[in-house]
Amino acid sequence: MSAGITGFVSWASGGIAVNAPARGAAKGRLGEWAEAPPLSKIHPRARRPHPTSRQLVQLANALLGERRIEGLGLVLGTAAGCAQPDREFQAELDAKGWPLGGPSLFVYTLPTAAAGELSIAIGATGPLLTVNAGTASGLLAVARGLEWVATGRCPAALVCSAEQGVENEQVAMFLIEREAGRGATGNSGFADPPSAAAGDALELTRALAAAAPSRLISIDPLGYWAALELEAAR
Amino acid sequence: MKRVAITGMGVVSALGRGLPAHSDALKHGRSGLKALSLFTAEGIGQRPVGEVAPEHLWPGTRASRSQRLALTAAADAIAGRTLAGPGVMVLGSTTGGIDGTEQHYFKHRGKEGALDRELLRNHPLGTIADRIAHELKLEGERHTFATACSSSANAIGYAASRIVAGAPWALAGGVDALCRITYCGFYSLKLVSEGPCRPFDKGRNGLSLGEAAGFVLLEAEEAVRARGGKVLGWVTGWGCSADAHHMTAPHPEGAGAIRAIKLALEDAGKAPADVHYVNAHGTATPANDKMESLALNAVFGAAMPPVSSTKGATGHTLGAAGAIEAVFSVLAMGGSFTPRTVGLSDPDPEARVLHAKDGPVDVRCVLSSSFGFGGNNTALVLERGDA
Repeated sequence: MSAGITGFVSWASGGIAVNAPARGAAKGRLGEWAEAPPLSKIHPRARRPHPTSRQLVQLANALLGERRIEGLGLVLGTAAGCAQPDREFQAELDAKGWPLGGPSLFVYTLPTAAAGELSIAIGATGPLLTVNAGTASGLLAVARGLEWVATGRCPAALVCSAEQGVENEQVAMFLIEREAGRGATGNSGFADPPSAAAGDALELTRALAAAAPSRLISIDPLGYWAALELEAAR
Repeated sequence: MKRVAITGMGVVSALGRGLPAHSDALKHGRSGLKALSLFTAEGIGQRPVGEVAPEHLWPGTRASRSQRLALTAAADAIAGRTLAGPGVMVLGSTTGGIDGTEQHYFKHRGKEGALDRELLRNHPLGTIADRIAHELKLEGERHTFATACSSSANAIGYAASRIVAGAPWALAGGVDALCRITYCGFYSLKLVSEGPCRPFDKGRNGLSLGEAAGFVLLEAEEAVRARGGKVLGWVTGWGCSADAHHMTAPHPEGAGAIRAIKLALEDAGKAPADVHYVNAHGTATPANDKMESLALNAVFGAAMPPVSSTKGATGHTLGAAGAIEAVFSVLAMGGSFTPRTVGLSDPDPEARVLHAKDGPVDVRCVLSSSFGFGGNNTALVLERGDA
């Protein structure tokens, strides 16, 4: 069984890009998206969403629209994870007292909270996972999604890479399905340590848009690395 | 398809360190829960928790508590062996470096220096796996998974899939340390029991938190046989699903749990009647135990095997729960017993399962279930190893 990337969308400093190269570099804060649908129409916790799930739900809406996939898997790769809610919850305990922390904010201290909230918003009932591998987290998340679909653990997987509440913010999302119909087909793995420069999830959108065979490599100073081989769709 | 053998196990919890200590405690229904002593949480009190004794922590003060717990269990699982070739390490954790971050926060309280590199050293979820790889000199892939309280069950399932794909070895497990954030956070959700937790009991009123680490060393059967090694147990099935229902409450009818259990049984090629014991998630929260009993009845029906929760003995160890309960399941098979549910005295008719009893019993196949916030559901099927 083969699996391929059939759609992708990104949100970076230059704005939103659907099935097109990321706009802007992964530097600075996320740009505005004035045309986005009202959050209250697409996010079940729109009044106080997880800081990362807000963007994830909006991007998923842009990528999937009204489409629902039974048993959809969901993988989130993130290095910063829940750092922002962690700091906020600690500050809240300080300000209000130990017994008076907010339950909603506490739940957001879980690294898996953003992925969980996204799964609720889009009704994804397949495997659900948040992975952390430094700056290689995004590509490793793509690798997990490809494995799941290729081995039949789910018919399709939505793979997200998100860094928020940090100096350089970026969010990217990829839809992986069996027997890719368009876009590119990806394989991933760990071979000999690469000697080339780093890549990331935004780079992956550029490679996919080019629709040419390529190799993406991500290296983290802590020793993580991932390589993703892309080939053109059949 | 390659069979995935468990050839090493390590565990540290409130019950002690190592396999004999845990086997003995589980067989005799002992609890490690006692009043919280690690820190004070003003306004909440020192409720029963499962703390690990200081002598079981890996030596070294620069490592976080989570890292020190994980190192103890990981080193015990490897047991001094030299693992040849690049392998795979998979760690599951709910809080990751949050206990280290907390100390950092107390030190700086948001002032200058609050974002210095100390935070980077301990906060990211992957730092525990980084530390294990560094200290134990493990070469190869390194993965850290967060699926709340099912994290380490998923770590084991994924590690098994890497063995099937050809990895020479895989070290998989999980860890979480007690800290103020989780203690206060679960209190804010009104989920912490005032007394020791009572899974599946009519009078249950919440969980008792605990800390622990557990690891299993996995290898392909042919590699173990070739070197004349002993198989402690087998990982034969793994299933995971999402509720897509609520961030903290389980699906009321256990729909996601049922899917995960059925997927694990299908993965193992087992029918419900093949399962001899279920190590339940059994947190002792009203919602979880009721949901879990509905799920188990839906899957097993009249063929319900004995069921127990070991969280009355260890507390709910969050991201470590799946791994330590996999270890307990293998111990139960090897020792021919089913751990009783510590704290259970008056079974809840609305959380009806067949409760495990004391006494020798032939256990060859176990289902271990783990569920977590965010609607995460995972089930593992484990089978008995060599006599």
